[in-house]
Amino acid sequence: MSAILQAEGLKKYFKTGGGLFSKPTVVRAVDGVSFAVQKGETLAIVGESGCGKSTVGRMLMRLIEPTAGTVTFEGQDLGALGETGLRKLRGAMQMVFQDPFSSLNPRMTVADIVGEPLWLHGEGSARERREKTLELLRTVGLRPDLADRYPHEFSGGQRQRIGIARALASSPKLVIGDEPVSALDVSIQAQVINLLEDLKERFALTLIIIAHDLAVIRHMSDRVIVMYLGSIVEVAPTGPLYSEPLHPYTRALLSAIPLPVPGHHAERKLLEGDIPSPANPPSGCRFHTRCPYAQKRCVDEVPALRDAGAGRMAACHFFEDLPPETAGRALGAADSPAKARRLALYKQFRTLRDTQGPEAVLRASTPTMEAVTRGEQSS
Amino acid sequence: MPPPSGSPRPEPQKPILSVAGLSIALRGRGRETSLVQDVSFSLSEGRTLCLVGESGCGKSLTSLAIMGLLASPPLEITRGEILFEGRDLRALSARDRADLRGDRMTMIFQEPMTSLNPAFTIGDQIAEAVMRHKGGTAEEARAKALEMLKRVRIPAAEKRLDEYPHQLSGGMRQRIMIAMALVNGPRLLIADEPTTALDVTIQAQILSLVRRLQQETGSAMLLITHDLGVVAEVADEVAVMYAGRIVERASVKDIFDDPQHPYTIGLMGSLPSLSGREERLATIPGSVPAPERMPKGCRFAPRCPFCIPACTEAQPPLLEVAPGHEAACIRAPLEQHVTEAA
Ligand SMILES: Nc1ncnc2c1ncn2[C@@H]1O[C@H](COP(=O)(O)OP(=O)(O)OP(=O)(O)O)[C@@H](O)[C@H]1O
Ligand SMILES: Nc1ncnc2c1ncn2[C@@H]1O[C@H](COP(=O)(O)OP(=O)(O)OP(=O)(O)O)[C@@H](O)[C@H]1O
Ligand code: SF4
Ligand code: SF4
Ligand SMILES: [Mg+2]
Ligand SMILES: [Mg+2]
Repeated sequence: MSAILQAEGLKKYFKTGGGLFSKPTVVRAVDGVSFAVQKGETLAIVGESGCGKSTVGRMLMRLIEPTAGTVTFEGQDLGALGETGLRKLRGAMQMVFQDPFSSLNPRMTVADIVGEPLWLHGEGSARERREKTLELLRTVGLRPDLADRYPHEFSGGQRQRIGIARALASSPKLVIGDEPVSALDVSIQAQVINLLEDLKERFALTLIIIAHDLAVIRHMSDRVIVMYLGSIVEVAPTGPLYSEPLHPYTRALLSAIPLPVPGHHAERKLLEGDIPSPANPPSGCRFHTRCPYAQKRCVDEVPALRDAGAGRMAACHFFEDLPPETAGRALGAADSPAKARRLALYKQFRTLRDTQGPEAVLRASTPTMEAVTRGEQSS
Repeated sequence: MPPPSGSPRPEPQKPILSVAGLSIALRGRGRETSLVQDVSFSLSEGRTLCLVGESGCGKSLTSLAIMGLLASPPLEITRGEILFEGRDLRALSARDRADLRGDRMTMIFQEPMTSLNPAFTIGDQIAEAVMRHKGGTAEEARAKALEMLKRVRIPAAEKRLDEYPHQLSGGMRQRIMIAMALVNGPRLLIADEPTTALDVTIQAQILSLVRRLQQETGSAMLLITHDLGVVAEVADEVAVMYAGRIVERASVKDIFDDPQHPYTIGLMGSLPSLSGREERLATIPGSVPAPERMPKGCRFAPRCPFCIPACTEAQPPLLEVAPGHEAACIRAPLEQHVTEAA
């Protein structure tokens, strides 16, 4: 594998407020972030609200200018490209946003929204573009006959599909999803997750998923970056990150998730205190105000993001010496036999109805009393 | 490991709240659209009932109707009974209901600023809630407010009394709202998505706080959420709603270990798991029908993999499938109605 995208020392400081008598505050939204994205992988960026995930995503797309640092996409330094160069590159890098309501222009039809990138890149004739647009709608599971409707006529999940279709229009190599399923109900979220996975496979995409839902991330990604207050605290392949988190913050995040398993809460350790403001981050290790393992050194000295072997990195002075996370609770429990059986039935009938229609569902039903009696009469 | 509580819990005493056949409709321009239909449940002292379901299924309307806070018109309770501590709430005067609110029954919301007034200090707002319902002097009320802030673990509580809501973080505001909701010792607490807007580490703090306070005070809680993790964490009983109706009701253990309604099963299958990477999520196709376009029979029929013609003839009633476990599906339990080798 080779890196398709590389971020090096990215920083973004926002100045806010400040007037005649007050100094502006500087929000260190992203404060020195470096990582590489491998071709074909799904990389997740996770962390709590305000830790800088979206700001990183926007800098990768160069929708905002970094305060410092570089982004290299397929060997090209984005900062060195002019407007035209950037525009070309943006076809190859696309973003899908969290809010399907505000990210689509309400005055454009779905066909116009999805087809706009084709038009911008001057692809083909009007008819060919229309064809391609309808094909894109089919690809994301929307009926092409809805092409001339407006976004408000669609549900949240459908709007997210429209956003995805639009992102695919320019045949991107890399898609960045900023909370692409966070605003959706569970059942709709599952549809969009499956869609993203199918599309990734079909178009050999590289995906960066920005999210705060650790279950969604576990399901979708190959590798995870954990951020806290503008910095990376841990990087690891997905499996090991969940089974054996190294950084105290990652541990705390994982143990805070309420599991859909009754009776599990008894075992958890809770993190105390609030998330500090990025305008006034704690000295040394930014996590030291909440870390159960903090020591004197943590207050004074910023921990470097260090190699932890097996493709892992952690930014903690003491990660080698911390007690292993075996005491942590299991992240799930086996399904009860009754639940496992019904889930299996559900999936089986879902496929049956999809592929062979409702009549097949009826045929696979045990005869009801009524049918039994009718059968007896006819024989 | 917590002990598995397989056997049904002893049936608790008299319910604090019991809702029977509650229906809510939207009236306007000569039309009536049913939004909540035939919702029934009851809740006893010290117990927590979770209402779960997707956006728009009627969870908030149900809770607002109980609180007497429905925006009517255009919303209206068209049928049903709401008994609170044995009293028929619908028969009470507006004044009597207002006296109950904030005292015997209280509510917390997803957005704390719905209940907090930005123009007053935290201390004044909580003290005001105390004096309005319990009387007493301003000093006593302020002392009560301080005690409550300490109980919800607000750091530097003394100082916070004189601060304004905007000076606090989201998690802190949520604690203040909880303090205000519990200061008068309500018998019923309704919490509508109290942690949905919070980060997961803060959510965990708030949930554990609510659970502890509830144990201390013995009040009943109706918790509204769409997060099945939160449900498993705090519920004793669960009611799953779909398109304005309760489709399944059971103990929390039975909902997770013995889901009966195809909608509940589909929801469980849609949840990505933290413990491993499963192949593909099961999904529920399509989306919830709009209230004015509800199908005639089972409302889940257009999305249900098990749907047969009989499902679309009449609305399946909520019937007991096992002791203390009800489902509104003519084909529950599924394994008795389908051939698995299909
Ligand atoms: N344009 C801006 N001006 C000032 N501050 C900003 C701006 N954009 C972001 N910030 C601040 O930078 C920090 C990081 O914001 P960012 O949106 O990247 O966080 P996030 O991790 O995506 O959070 P969320 O999960 O809430 O989306 C926050 O403190 C935010 O308030
Ligand atoms: N004031 C109102 N006027 C008209 N329709 C309303 C009103 N309030 C709610 N509704 C409709 O009633 C239905 C149920 O709404 P409700 O707010 O109870 O849903 P909910 O289950 O709480 O959803 P969510 O999870 O999104 O909060 C929805 O279809 C909603 O659009
Ligand atoms: S460096 Fe110190 S404060 Fe930071 S995570 Fe490690 S132990 Fe905790
Ligand atoms: S009654 Fe029929 S359509 Fe409704 S949930 Fe049961 S099987 Fe599905
Ligand atoms: Mg963001
Ligand atoms: Mg609601």
